[in-house]
Amino acid sequence: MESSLELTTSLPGTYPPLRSRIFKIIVIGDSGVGKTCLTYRFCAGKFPDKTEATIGVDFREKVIEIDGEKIKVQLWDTAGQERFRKSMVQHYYRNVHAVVFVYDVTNAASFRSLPAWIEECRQHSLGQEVPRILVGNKCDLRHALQVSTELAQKFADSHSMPLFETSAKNPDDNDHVEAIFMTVAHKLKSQKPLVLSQPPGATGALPLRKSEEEERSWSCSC
Amino acid sequence: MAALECLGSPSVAVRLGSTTKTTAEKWRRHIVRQLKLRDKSQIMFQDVISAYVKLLERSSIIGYVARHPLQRSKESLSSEITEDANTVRVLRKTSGELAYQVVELQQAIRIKDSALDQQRDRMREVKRRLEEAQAEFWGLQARVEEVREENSALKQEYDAVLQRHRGMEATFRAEKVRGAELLEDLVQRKRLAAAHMNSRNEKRVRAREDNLKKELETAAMKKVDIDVGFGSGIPTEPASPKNETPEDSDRFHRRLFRSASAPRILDSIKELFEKKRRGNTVCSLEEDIYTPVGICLSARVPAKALHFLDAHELGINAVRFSPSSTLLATGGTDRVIKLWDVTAGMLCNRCSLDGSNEGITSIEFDPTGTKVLAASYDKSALYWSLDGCAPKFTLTGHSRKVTAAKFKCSLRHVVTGSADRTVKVWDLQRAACVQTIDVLSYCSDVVCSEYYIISGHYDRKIRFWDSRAASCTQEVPLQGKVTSLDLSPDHRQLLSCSRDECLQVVDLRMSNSRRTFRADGFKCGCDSTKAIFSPDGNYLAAGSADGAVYIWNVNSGNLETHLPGMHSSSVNALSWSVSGQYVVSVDKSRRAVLWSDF
Repeated sequence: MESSLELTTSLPGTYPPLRSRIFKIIVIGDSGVGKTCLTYRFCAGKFPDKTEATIGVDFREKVIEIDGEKIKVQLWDTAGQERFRKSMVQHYYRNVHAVVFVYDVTNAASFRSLPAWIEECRQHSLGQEVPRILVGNKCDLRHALQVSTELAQKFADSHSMPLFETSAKNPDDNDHVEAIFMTVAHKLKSQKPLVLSQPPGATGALPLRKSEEEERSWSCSC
Repeated sequence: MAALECLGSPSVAVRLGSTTKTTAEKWRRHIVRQLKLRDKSQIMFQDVISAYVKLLERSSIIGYVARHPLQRSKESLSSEITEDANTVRVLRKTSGELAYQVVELQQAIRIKDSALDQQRDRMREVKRRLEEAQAEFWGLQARVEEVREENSALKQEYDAVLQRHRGMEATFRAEKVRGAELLEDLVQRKRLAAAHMNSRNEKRVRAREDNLKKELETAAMKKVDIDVGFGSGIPTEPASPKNETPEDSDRFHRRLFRSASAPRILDSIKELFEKKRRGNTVCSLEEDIYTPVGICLSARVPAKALHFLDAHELGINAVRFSPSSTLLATGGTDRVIKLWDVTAGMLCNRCSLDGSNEGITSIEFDPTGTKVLAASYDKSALYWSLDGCAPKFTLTGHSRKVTAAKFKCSLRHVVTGSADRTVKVWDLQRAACVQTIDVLSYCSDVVCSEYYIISGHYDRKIRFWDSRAASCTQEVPLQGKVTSLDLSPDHRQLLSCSRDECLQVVDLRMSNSRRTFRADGFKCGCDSTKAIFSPDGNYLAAGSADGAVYIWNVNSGNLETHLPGMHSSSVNALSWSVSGQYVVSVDKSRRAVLWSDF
């Protein structure tokens, strides 16, 4: 909530110093795995009291400093429920800099559906250079563990993603949520030249064009 | 007798003389001989003796008889005296007994009297109790009256509560519909917000690039060694002029265009977030939105025709129950839609909806049951609000007959399929066509879910359309012309009926899983024969060319029942009430039949 508040206040105003870069990171995974809590923990530094199903997308931003450069991390907290997201998936993947796949370590089904999420990613013609990471959330609930670290590690290795296990509720448990996103930001910052050496048309312009065509056909059809 | 005495003596003699055996034997024989002789000589005397004895007896009897009367007179007197004395004694005894009896009887009378008294007492007691009982009875009667009044009061209260419940249900339905609209709105706004966020990011990237470019230019003008600048000075620089493709300038133009409308969008987003911050319960509300409004737990398989009548003047093409299950609409070739109340197993005509210039091909109710949508041969679709019987809108634009008209989930939009090879989407608020999809072939039926439209065609294909992109996402080939389509209540399965006399159920989540339902004797009557799902999704129903209604079980895949004999011509359409209780079938020869399970 607070981040969106921040967003609304920052929106009508002037752009932040042009030097600061923005990293758009989308967080995807099954509904209820804790995407909202993870992003909230990172941006607001605390665990939300109560959350409800995200509709469409929530934006959360945080300015971090890496090697003296101020970088704005823009987290797209996407809806996990198909019906709240299906009409806007294309927006998620446009010009995205990194993808965070989240599963719930206490819910094997959320782990099993990871290939579907990866497939969705692939369908939106995301290049291999876009960093992806795998996050197992809720690891404070050790007694209800359903997805073992070994299994998750194997899966992560087979998709060449780094694996992090954490808890948005109690981040001291394992990998600190902030550390995870900082890792991603570092990676992005160091990798940045690589990304930009790709013509933006490869990821950005093409879907944009398509959607515009859709709009045109929509409007002239009647 | 004498002979015996004589015999006795010789025997004694024989015993005495038995010492000398031979002589004694001789003697004995001799004596016996002698005795026998004597018996022979003396036998005549035996008769005399016996006769004498008899005489003696007789004389003694006579003598007794002659003496007796005298004795008797004496004896009789004395006996009479004794007799009298006896009588006297007896009488005395009797009188004594009688006196005793009197005493006894008196005793009995006393006992009886007391018994009588007791009975009187008891009677009084009983009377008293009777009175008590009577009183109690009246009391109870009064109580009954009271309870009856109470009951009627309760009944009234119950009726009122029921009424209120109905009202609340109606509001609930309306709220649900509104909720669906709100959700759609919210998603729409979110989409806008996401699009805006993307464009903002792009703008910033571009601005940054421009800036860098400018810096580069100034750096170049300053004649600084560029290689050095790339290598060490600006490590993040490669946001380079390379990226400035024609597309970018294209984007730039668009950006200008967007900025004009930006404040409005910003406002709407701001509003959206504010709303969210305040409400914060939008999501939980949304959770239930897509559950169907009328829920049927189990449909009952019809077994008996309750009522039938010739409902129209010409053949009936379409029939549909309203979501309340008490209202039925039929549409026929005679250009009229008739509304029927289903009460007590009968169809009672309520009113007619005029307005179509040709026959009706399909009818649909909206989830609130107050709007009717019909497709017509006159190239239009008609939309009535049941408050007034005049057509509220006529949606014209198709160039051939309209074969199907369906509400979209949002209820704001309507989808029509036509023989002119197009499917059109209409906005009811503007009463205008907002989208036309070219569907390549004669469209015989159309169904729609939130984001996709499914159409059935004469070229033996079912096509799936993404209603946002207007592109065909999938084609399912069949063996015959598709005559009708229906979605299961949970929107997971699609039923199609085709001219190869079979029904197919396609799982929408895995479209390669298809199941075929056939039956001996089932024959598709015409090119628009309608097959339907039961409201719980467990059965399929379709009418055949021979006038029978066939019902299949979806789970087992077998024919559940078949109901012949009520229709004399091919059955065109059926409708299953949402309550699961009734099925109505209509045929080519004007007849409508109401079926139920009892």
